[in-house]
Amino acid sequence: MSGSLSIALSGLDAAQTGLDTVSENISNSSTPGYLKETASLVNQQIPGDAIGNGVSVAGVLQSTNSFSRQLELSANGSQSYANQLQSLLTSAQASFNEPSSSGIAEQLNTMYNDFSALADNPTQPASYDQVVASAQNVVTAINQAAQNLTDVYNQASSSASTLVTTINSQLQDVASLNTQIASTSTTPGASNTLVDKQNEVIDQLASELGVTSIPGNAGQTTLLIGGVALVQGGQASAIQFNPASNPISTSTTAGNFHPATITLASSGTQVPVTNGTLGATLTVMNAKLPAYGGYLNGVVNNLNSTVNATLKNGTSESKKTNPPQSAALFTPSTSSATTPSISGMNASTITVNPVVVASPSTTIAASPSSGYIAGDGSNAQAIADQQTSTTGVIANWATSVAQVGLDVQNASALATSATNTYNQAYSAEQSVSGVSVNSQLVNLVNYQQMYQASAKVISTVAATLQSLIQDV
Amino acid sequence: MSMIPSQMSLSALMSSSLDQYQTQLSEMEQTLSSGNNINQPSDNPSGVANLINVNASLSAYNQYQSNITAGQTVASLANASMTQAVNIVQQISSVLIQAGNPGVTKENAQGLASQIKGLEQSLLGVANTTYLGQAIFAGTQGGTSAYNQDSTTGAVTYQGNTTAPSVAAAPNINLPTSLTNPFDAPLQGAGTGIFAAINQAITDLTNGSNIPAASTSDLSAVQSGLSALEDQAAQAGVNDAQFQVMSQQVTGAVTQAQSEVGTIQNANVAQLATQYQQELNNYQVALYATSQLNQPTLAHYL
Repeated sequence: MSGSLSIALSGLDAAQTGLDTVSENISNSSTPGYLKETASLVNQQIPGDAIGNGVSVAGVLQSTNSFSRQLELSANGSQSYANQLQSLLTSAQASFNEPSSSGIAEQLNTMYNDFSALADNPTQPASYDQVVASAQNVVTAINQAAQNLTDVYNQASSSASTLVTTINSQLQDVASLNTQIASTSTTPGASNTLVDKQNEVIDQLASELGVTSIPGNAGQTTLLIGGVALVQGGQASAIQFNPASNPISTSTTAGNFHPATITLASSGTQVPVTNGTLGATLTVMNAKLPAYGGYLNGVVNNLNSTVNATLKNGTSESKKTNPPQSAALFTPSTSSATTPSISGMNASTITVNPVVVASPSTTIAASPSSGYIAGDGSNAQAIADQQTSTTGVIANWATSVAQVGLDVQNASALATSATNTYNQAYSAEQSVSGVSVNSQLVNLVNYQQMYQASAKVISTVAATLQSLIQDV
Repeated sequence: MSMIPSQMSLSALMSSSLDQYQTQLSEMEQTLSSGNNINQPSDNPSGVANLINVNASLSAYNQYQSNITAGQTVASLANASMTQAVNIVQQISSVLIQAGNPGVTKENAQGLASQIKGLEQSLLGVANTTYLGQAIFAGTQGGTSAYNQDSTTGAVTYQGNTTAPSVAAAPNINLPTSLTNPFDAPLQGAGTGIFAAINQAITDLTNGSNIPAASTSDLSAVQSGLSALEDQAAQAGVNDAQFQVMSQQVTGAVTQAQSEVGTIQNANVAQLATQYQQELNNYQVALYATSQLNQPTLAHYL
């Protein structure tokens, strides 16, 4: 009879562990990184004994599937990449301030209109003043867009630097947890909470960096990026962010632009980060922002090759009577007022030639081909005609703005697609390792019935023993 | 076996779905509130390029319209001035015909000369018509007067140049606003032209020594000048008319460009409001589904 009591007691213990497991699972049903736990019950068989010796708890196991976990981590990195790409490109797009009544296109329209008005009224000083004023508005719009783009670049650079600091701390956490997990690996279930915590950190690293997680010995995890190990056992390799050069000042200078990189702090080995939040930040800093800086600098170069070049070839009353002078309307802010030079002019440095600002009538309106004719505005008209040219500044700018819009549109589509992919991967992973409250409540009922039944067995055996004692 | 949704995967899916609805509703609200289809380049990348280019065309045509309005004012003034000049020369011609009457005395001739001198001053005033302080018959030279009369000899010389002022009225189309030296005065000296013919008649009548010439050779010269002046007046009329024709064409181009901008940029509010309502309904259904799906569990029935 004592065997019955012992067997029923083992059922009580097992049911109690099962109830504890259900309670733990339901309590952590919304805990990031938590892996569903299951009480592993085994029949206690004694060799030669037909009945057995009840049930025992072999351990509390965590539910996981390395394949679905890898897919989820990869999709997590892709989703973060797409979201960050969309966010940064949307900010960059806003820098262009198009379409808008104060954008570069509208300011160029006003300037060309003023050149047309100057062509019709070349003897009116107010016409020259108006051209200079509208040219200054063009410059302000270009400078502002360049500043906005530089702000996006600074913001991306700063966030990447901060993120790398966080990542290094997380890599250290994973390595430290690896050490702790290895030390408890001999006791089944003893490392469960450590694994949960490590999972949460790896999820964050996948989102930030797009790491690949490989299960190792004794429950440890190895983290890799493109073949470069960031965590191996208890060792973490710190990474370092090396910012890119300014997208405005260097984008048009071949060979002068150096991209942002991630390297191992210890050896300088380049870490190929192409996924996650950091991967998207690098893509934007190394490819998109320099391209957009190139678009703005393209406007500046076009103004130089069209407006400046046309003005330079013109004639004027002052040019007829004075020694030749540079008639460039647009010069870099670094240019000397006495000997203007175009060298170094970009979207950040472009300004209206101070010589022209001081004396607007030096802006040339007369025709270059017919020599100086008083009151001839054909040179100004030649500039005004560039307004609707299919190869003019505005047409080129329109193409650039469309390209930026297309980039943002593609990034949005990528973000939507990546989110859907991640949701699917996450659902698949959660169906294995996540907590379904209904499933847990079914288990709860099972363990409750098991507990009650075991208690009933003990009660019944006790009553049987009592009746035996009384009869004897 | 189908996937078993966990509490976290259910929450993530619902949250993601609601986020997408909210993003779409927010974008539609922006379009509805601005009335513009394109609020940022990503709304329609190819459309924004078209919009910028069409806006440039619209801006250019608006400027052409402004140029035409300003140019037409000068062309109309030139046309009216030339008509007035023809009238004055016709009066001078009539006075010279009177000089051919038998019995015109020396005193009569001097009176006629004085009358012609007055008409000549009127003609000179017309020839020096200005707009915004600039002589309109002086070409692109500008200045306050196109013609200057020597106070001693009475000879009238041209002060301007031979480049006709014009305005850009359309792509590669410049319309002349006025005429250069329509009175055909020389740059210096007495020369020829209507003023030279008039001055010769004044001299002959004033001297009294060659009164018959006033009604013959002088009259012939003045009428020849009148004929040339009428040709110039006709040209001024053509210039004026060209502005009217071009104004209509440019107005048409402006209307067309405005229509193109509207097609690209103006939101179809009725259609958008319907879509917004549909999207709002979907969002509300998703909210209801979220509230229902996330609540009941087996715990309710235990």
